[in-house]
Amino acid sequence: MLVFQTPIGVKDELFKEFQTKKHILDKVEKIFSSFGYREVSTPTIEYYDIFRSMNSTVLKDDIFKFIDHSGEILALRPDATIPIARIVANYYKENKRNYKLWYKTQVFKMSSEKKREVTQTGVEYFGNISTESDAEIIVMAINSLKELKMNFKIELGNAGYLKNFLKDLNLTTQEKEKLKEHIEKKNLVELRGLLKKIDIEENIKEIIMKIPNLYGEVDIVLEEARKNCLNSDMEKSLEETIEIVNILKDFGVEKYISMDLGLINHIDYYTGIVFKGYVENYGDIILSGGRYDDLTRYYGESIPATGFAINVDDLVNIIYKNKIDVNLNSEGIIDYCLNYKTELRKEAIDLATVLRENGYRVDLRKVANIENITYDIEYRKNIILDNDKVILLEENISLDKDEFKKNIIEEREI
Amino acid sequence: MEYLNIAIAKGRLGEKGYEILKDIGLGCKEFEESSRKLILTSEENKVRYVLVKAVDVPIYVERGAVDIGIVGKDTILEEERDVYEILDLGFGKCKFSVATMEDYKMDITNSIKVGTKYPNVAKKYFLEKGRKIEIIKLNGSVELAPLIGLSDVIVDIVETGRTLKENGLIVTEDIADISARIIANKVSFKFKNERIKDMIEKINLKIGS
Repeated sequence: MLVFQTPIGVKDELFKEFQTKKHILDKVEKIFSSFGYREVSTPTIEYYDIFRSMNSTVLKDDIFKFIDHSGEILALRPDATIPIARIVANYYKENKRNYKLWYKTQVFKMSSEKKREVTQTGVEYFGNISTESDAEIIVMAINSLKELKMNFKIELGNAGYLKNFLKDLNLTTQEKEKLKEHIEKKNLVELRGLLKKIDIEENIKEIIMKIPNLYGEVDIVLEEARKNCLNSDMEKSLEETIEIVNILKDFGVEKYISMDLGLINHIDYYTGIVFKGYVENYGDIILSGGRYDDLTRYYGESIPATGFAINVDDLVNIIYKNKIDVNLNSEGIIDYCLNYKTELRKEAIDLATVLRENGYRVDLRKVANIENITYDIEYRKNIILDNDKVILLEENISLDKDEFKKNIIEEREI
Repeated sequence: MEYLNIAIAKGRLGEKGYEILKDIGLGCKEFEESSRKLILTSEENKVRYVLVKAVDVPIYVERGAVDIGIVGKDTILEEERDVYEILDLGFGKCKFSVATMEDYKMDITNSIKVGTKYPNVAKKYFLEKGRKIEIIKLNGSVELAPLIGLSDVIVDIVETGRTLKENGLIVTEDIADISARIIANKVSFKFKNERIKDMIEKINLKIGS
């Protein structure tokens, strides 16, 4: 048999799997819109240049590229935030207000072993520099995972803390990159080895060695971090973090958060608070976000911004793996299979219309004869229209057609 | 308490790594018995060992199939996985080096042919040096390549240098120090932090670093 396969890294989604995904998106949509965010949709195809010119979270080699008639290079959207930043920058020129937006979309990356098409949903809050806006974003991330019954943790860091630390050090770019790499990997051995070769003061080396261990319980870590501030900008980053934590306490969500000031990947993209979401027994990071005030500069506007994205495909996997009961509201199950003979087509259509108008899902099935119909478990109920009677196969009873209709309407009213 | 899942490779490095973990209270009787089982559990110490091929340890850890893994730095460098590298176990010490025939003269205008089992490590190293190379991926007896003209140089693990010497090769550059390491999944590191931190402290005490 000839099987038509999908390319590597993409897949079909249907039935229960797709219902689960829809369920997730419905839940988060309710949360996002309850905080006053509005949905936006951006094109799947964009100019390659908008992704190329910035230190984004996407590797340029991983972008799907193709060429337009005019010779312009186009790209399949590899990131959801950048196109939204492009839109907002355009509007902001005319109207300098806050923009609270959310999206659900697919992003594409030409990875050779990971998935190439990933569904993401997330929020972006443009125009507000306050710590309240950062906290709001984090609370929405927490509420989303809570609503989906995940056993999760949100970990906070601050990209500014390390950035402001490194900027005063007299080191080459290469040395800084190595430092960041070892801190990111919590690799104390190599970090110590590297510091031996670098010419900086001993007390600064000691502080650097402490950074990978600045994780754990929020208050303890922040206290420890305060001792290691070298300049006023670092202090500012720290104060900002403390302020956000205080707001999160006002929201009553502090039990979900922990701290990691060594959390620094994509440090070029983020400018302030950063955070990640983990779910127990699932090895990947499923949610990440933070403040990225520099992104819109590429469009000639400097708009403060904060946001996060959830990897929806990971959530679907977790729900399956951990057998989380999501109560799909019997979506995907069809209520009635209505069997009829050609002669009764008009009557069958009328009956189906009554059922549908009362909120039932109905499949009409024309059969040659009504004698040997067995019921199909794909449907909740299998019924046969037999002249003025409706035969309910599961219950093995037959009702008068008008009585059946009356019952349906009454059922609905209850 | 939840199980701590550890990926480990059969062989010298794995056995030695296990000895250290056993000494700090992560022993597993099943591990010491000879069997064909691939998952070995100790109910008593709440630990589960998963036997995998050495090169596969990093991906098991990255994807969270296990919490931690014992693996050589050579494999970590070659595989480039997104994991925490939390401990140097201090044994299995050797070096990644570039070696060549004693009389070989490098022609910097042409690309160098590099024979290696570690294409990523070689590529990255020469790229940083700004030298053009052509990789020849080999699966064993790497020393042979320069001798019969398959490659100009080799990039390989060098422990004592005896094999090189006996084949008339010399080390021209050192790339990185290698030893056995413990790597951790980033999520497990947070969710099972107390156990992992406790393990790190005990091992550090034991090996005295």
